[in-house]
This record gives sequence, structure tokens and C-alpha cells, in this order.
Amino acid sequence: MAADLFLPSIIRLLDYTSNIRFKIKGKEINFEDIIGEKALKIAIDIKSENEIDIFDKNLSLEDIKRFEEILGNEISKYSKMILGPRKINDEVQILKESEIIEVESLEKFEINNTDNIKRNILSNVKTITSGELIKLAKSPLLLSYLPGENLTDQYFALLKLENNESSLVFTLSHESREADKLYIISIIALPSKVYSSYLNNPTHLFLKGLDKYGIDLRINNNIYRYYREIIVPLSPNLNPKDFHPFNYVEFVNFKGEESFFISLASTDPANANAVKFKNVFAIRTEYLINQLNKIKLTNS
Amino acid sequence: MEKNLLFYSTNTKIAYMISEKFYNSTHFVWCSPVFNPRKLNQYDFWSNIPGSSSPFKIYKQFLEDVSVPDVHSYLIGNNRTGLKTGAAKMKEKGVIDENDFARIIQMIDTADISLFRPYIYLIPKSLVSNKLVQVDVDIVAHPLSCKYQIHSLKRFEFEIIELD
Repeated sequence: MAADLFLPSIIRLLDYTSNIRFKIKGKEINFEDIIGEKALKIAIDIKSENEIDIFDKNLSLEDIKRFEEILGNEISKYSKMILGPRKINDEVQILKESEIIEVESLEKFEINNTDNIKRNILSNVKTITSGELIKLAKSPLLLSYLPGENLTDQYFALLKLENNESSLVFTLSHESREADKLYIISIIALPSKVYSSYLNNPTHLFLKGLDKYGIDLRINNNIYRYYREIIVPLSPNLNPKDFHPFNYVEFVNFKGEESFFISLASTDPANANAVKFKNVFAIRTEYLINQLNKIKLTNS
Repeated sequence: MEKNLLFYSTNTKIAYMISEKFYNSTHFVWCSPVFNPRKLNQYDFWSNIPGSSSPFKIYKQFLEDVSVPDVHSYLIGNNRTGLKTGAAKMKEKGVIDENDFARIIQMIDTADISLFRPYIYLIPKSLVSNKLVQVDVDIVAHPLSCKYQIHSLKRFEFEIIELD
């Protein structure tokens, strides 16, 4: 197979085979219009390696389908080229398992720890009982749900602050699946304008944040920049054995105008503030409140 | 003028997931004004819709392939290719970036057969009449093909059912 495969060319070929198999009324497409030089080369390579000539007018349906399968495999190879050595199995697993649930399902639950949060964090919001969260949000409160370990399921809930500049993503959990009450266990603050297209899927939003910004972590008085799976120490004197992904986090910085803030917790079982949740860790609300009190949440 | 109130579309769970999670809840579907042409009166024009365009038949085949499970299922293999094509087009359009493109492709390539469990979308004609793209049924050979395509079906424009 030719080494210089390009995605648009593959798409052109797939459009061509699609046009062979069915015609859309009023949109007949000629081969010359749809195939470019690069796509032609790919087709010639496939012909020489697989003996499928896509330009043969008598080509069977089976050969067309086989040709499309080969192009699908080329798409997979192309995506692996993009990734390089990076592993994304955990990210893909989170995205596979998370489900979108309707906002109405939250209304039957109560949210605890409301007093502290009302007083210390959500000065822009009058209350955070479940019904009022929904009422006050500029858009419907959207939830994502991931099944957790030890039968404790995690929910993500989103609230847009009244000034419409920032959004808060809450993670909530039952003490157990039998319990009716949900506890807020972490809060993530994000600028709405940056992440508006992902607000229906906080899990995806979390990963996009990592893609674009990374996270600065202060771990045991040392600052690390976390970007996907790579821990890069910002202090040159650090010993490599100090590198620990998702180790104990004391504080997370805002970064620049497009501020990104995320709460992470410790793998240290002695840390009473930490809750382990698969690949995403959450910090208990009480701890986070103290940290968030030091930071302005609105763009004022 | 079609006399149906609904359009029917058979899609897989993974197709639904990808559109919901990555494409802003915007779905590309093939759909038909008839759910099961074989149940129509033999004089009904739509009774001539081929089985390959029958959402019911496609649904049954997917269900069987998932239940067995048939790892060499043609339908499932074809669905994987179609989903990868969709992801490639979305990347070229800028709807997704290369990170999400890679995640989607990996999801598709590693998807367990259970993720190809079929769903039926019930699509009210009144909501999508200006979005329908007609396909010439005479040349249809695509296993998921029906009579129409909808390129930008929004989540609020359809309901999902499953048949046991």
C-alpha cells in the first residue's frame, strides 16, 4: 500500500463507491468530479495488491464492499499514525461506558452538603437543591453517568452560572446504589464559551480539557504539568522517582485567559479527601470549597 | 406524496453513541417510510420495497448476529466501515479534531459485538420533511439502505425503541 495516504482521498474513494451503489436523485456524480490524483493512486495501489479494480464497470457488489473494507482499514492505520506511541485505551473505555441520562432523573434525589456550597462557592446561584439547579441553569441540566467501582455510581451534573461565563460540572455519587441521596463529591469549573459544544458530555469535556490545556499540578510542593500520560516536571532538580501520575494533589492552577481548572485526588489511601473513580479522580467537596474560595469563578 | 406519519431507521448502539458523544447529537441515518414491507397489502406500492431496505429485516439480522454472536457478520463489518467513513468526514469538516477522530476509530475497531445491538429510530415526518434526501431504490445494494437519507437528524427529532 502506498505510504502517502491522505484522508480526503480515502473519503473521495468512499464517496465514489457510494455513488456506484446508489444514486441520490438529482445529484448524479461523475467519476472525474470526485476522484483526485492522490485518490487515483490509492485505487491503483489497491488494484495491484488486492486485484480489485474499482473503475471496472462490471465490478461485483462483493468487490465493491471488499474495496470499502480495505479503505476502512486504511482509515484505522491513519488514525494510528496520528496517535503515534500514545495510548488511549483508558480514554476510549471511559467514553464507551459513560451514558447520557435525562435531567428529570435527578429531581427525585436530594443533594447534600448544600449549606457549605451555598455560602462559599456559588455566590452567583441562590440555591443548589436539585430542583433549583435545574430551574436556575440557563440551559437544561445535563447529566452523564459512569458506573463506578464498588457499586457506587458517579454522575456528572452541569450548571451554568447566571453570568453565563462559566460552567460548573459537579460529580455526584450515591453512598450505595440503594441510597436515594446524591452527594456532591467534586466540582470542575470551566469557561462556557470554550466548552459549549461539549456541555452535554462532561466526560468528553474532561478529555478535551486535557487535550488542549493539560493540567498544572502541585504535588508535594513540586509543580508538574500533566499532559495526557506524560508527567513533565517543571522543576529541573526533581528525581525521576518523584513522578507519579495522579498523585496527591493540593492545588490546581488557573492557566491564562481560557482558564481551566480541574480537581484531582490522591492515590494515597490515607488521604481522607480522595475518592478513586477509575481514570478520573475526584476530591471531596469540603476540601475543594476551601481551594475554590481563593479563586474567582467569573470573568470579572 | 408519501402517506406515512413516521420514518423508520435501524441503527446500531455504537452509531448512536458516537453521534451523541462526538457529533453534537447530530445523526446521519438511512430511513424508510415503511417499517416492514412484507406486512403490507400486496397491492400496496411500498410492498415492493426490497428486503435490504426493510428496517425490520435489517433489525432482525443485526439482532441475530449480535445474539449468536457472529464475529464475521457482514452487517457488523459493514457498519464498522460506515462509521469510520463518517468519522473521517467529520474530521475533514472540522466537527471533530484528530484526538477525537483517533478515539472514535479505536472505539469502532475495538467495539465488542454487543455494541452493534440494533435500535429502531421512529422519526416523525413532520419534523424532518425538509431534511430528507431521496435515494433511487432501484440501485440500492447497501445493507442498511432504505429509501431516504437524513444527514443532520437531531436527537429531539426521533425516539428509540427496541424489539425483544
